[in-house]
Parts: sequence; structure tokens; C-alpha cells
Amino acid sequence: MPARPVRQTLQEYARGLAGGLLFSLPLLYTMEVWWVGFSAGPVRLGVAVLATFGLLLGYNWFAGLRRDASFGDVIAEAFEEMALGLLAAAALLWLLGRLQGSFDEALGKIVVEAMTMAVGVSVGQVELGGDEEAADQGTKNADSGTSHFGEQVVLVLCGAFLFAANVAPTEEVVQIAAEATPVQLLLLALLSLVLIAFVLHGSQFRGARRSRPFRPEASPLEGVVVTYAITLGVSAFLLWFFGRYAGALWPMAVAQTVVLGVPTALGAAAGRLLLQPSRPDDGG
Amino acid sequence: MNNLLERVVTTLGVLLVVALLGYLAWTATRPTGPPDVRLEVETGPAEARPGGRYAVPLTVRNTGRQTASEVVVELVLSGAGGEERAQLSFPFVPRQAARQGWAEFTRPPAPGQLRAGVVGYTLP
Repeated sequence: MPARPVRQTLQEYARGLAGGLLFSLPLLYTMEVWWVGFSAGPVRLGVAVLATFGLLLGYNWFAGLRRDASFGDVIAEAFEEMALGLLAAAALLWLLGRLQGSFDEALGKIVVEAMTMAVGVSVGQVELGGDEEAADQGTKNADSGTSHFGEQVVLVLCGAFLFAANVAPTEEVVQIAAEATPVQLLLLALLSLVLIAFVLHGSQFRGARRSRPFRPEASPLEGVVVTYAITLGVSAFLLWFFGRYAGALWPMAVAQTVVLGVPTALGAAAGRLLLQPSRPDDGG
Repeated sequence: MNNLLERVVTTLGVLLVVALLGYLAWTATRPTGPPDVRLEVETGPAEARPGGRYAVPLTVRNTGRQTASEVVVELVLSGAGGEERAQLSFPFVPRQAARQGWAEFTRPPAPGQLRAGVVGYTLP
């Protein structure tokens, strides 16, 4: 196979960076995120890097631009996206005058911003691309009738992460959780489930008809519940990363998870439909 | 097949991620003790300001390994003109970092008249 022309690579990078900015620019302008950069210790930052890298691998494998690629290529692609994410985050933070202070402080900020940027780059390369490229894509995961659990989980994770990352660091989540009554929390959880069901099944969203279940013959209800379960996981991970569980008693931790779960659920359901890979049998 | 540009960016990515994880692992394994916040306040020479006031620049530096938040610095100017106090608060003084502020007095401090120190802080 001949090498891709450099022009095409540059276009992919430009598209990826546009996607990265689309999702991470709000974070770059958020004070709580800068604080996390220096209050999160090396362990939390390291876990964030590894989790992001894992998500990139999953997304590139199931839905990436070069789906004819081997697993080695998928790994290389993930490293490319990390490079773009880290460099773009560093450049923008510098432009915004946020890299003053010590090396550790600056590094923490860059890592926090770069993770959303890298996932945004990955998604942007695929989702913002033109039709002519989608047409010549080979698909190795197009076989139907098998379990699509991995693929669907990755789509949910990407959608949930990209959407919730902009809400998770805010103080408002803590305040809402602290002031919400148990009945309100229950209703918020129900609202999340309804939102997921509505997006997946009731709204004629783009891609709703060709969306694949987690496993063959899974009922719609199962799809909604599993999506919400992953949503709560993403919500919990982000809250932990932004230090919201530190010192919180468990009712408060649960309340925050449910509160952040509402926007996360919306991102998760939309992600399952909007981020799913194009398939040759789609019929255009 | 990957072209040269992609190979360069991929290599850069490998180097950045490995260096980043390596550095984070190294900082994580350095010994930790009780809250490691070490704050020092340093004042500079007073500058005259309009309205007959004098601004004393100060730097609060955290040489510890943990970030301090809500850092309150108090300055006391004693001497013949009576005692004057000034208080500054800093939302954050990150680890291994410094923040700057200015305290204003009605007279320039003579040598030995100005005392400055950290009153308290919280952990973020």
C-alpha cells in the first residue's frame, strides 16, 4: 500500500485540531481546570494519561479514520493524537498566559487540557471529515450479528467524556448536589434514563436506525440501562479526577455522580449515534 | 503506510507520553510526609504612590511539594509613626511557585520596621 500523501495527513491534522478545540476550548477558559493542574498529584495525572490513551486506542480501533489498519497502526495513531493534543494544549495555554509558575504547575495544566484535546482530535479527524474519505474506508468490524459490546462501550465513553469534561470541573456540580433533595436526585436519575431512551429510540436522531445494540437481541431497555451504567462510571471517574470525592461522604459523592450524570447521559447517548463508524452497508 | 510527517509526529508522541509518564512516576515516588507547604514571604523596597502612600512589593513563595490555598499574609509596620497593618490573601500558591502582591502604607518603612509573615492557609 502506498504512503498517504503529506497533504492528506495535514488535512487530517487540521480537522483533528479543529475537533480538539471544539471540545476542549471551554476547558481552557475555565479557572477550575487550571487549579486541577496544580492540585492533582502525579498519580491522578498519570491515571488520566493512561485512561485517555486507552480511550484513543478503543476509538481508533472501532471507529477510527484508518479502519483498515492493524493494531500496531492503531497504537501509532493514538501516539500521534497524544502528540497533537499535548502540543496544542501547551501552545494555547501559553497564548492565554497560563503557563507562568513552576514546571510542575505548568505540566499539570497541560496534561489536564491535553487529554480532552487528544480525544477531540481523534473524534474530529473522523467526524468532521468529508464524504469522499468515508467512501473509501475499509471496515474490519462490519460483520453483523455478532456482539458489538466493545464498540458501543467505546462510543458511549467518548461521547460521555467529551460532553461531561466541560461540566465536571465546575463548582456548580458540587453546589447542586449539596442542595438537591433526595426526591430531586431520584428525578434527575430518571431524567437521565429518559434522555438516553429519547435520544436512542424516540427522536429520529442521525444514525438512530443503524445504531447497533450492545449484544445481539438486546432489548431497547437493556441498551438504555447499560448506557446509563457506563454514564455513571464516566461521571464518577471525572469527579474523582477533579478531586470532588476528596473528603466527601458517600451520600454527597453519590449525589454529585447523579447530578453530573445528566449531561453525561446526554453525551453518552448522542455519542452512541453520532460517533458510530460509517459502514459500507449503510446505503449512503 | 505512514508518510514521513506521520512517523515524525508519532515518534514525538511516543517520546512525549513516555517522558510524561516517567516524570509523573518519578514525582509520585519521591518521599511524602505531612502537608508539605513551605511558605516564605519576601518584601522589596517601598515605592511612592500618588496620594502619599507607599507600596511595598512582596513575594510569597511555596518551596514545598503541595499547593497551598487561601494563603493569608500579614504585614506589620511598627515604629515612631504608630503601628500599621496590611493583610493580603492569595487564592492559591502552587507548589514550587511564587505569587506577587503589594501592601500599601502611609509612610515608607525604615529598615527593621516591617515584619511580614504567613498567618494561615488551607489545602485545596
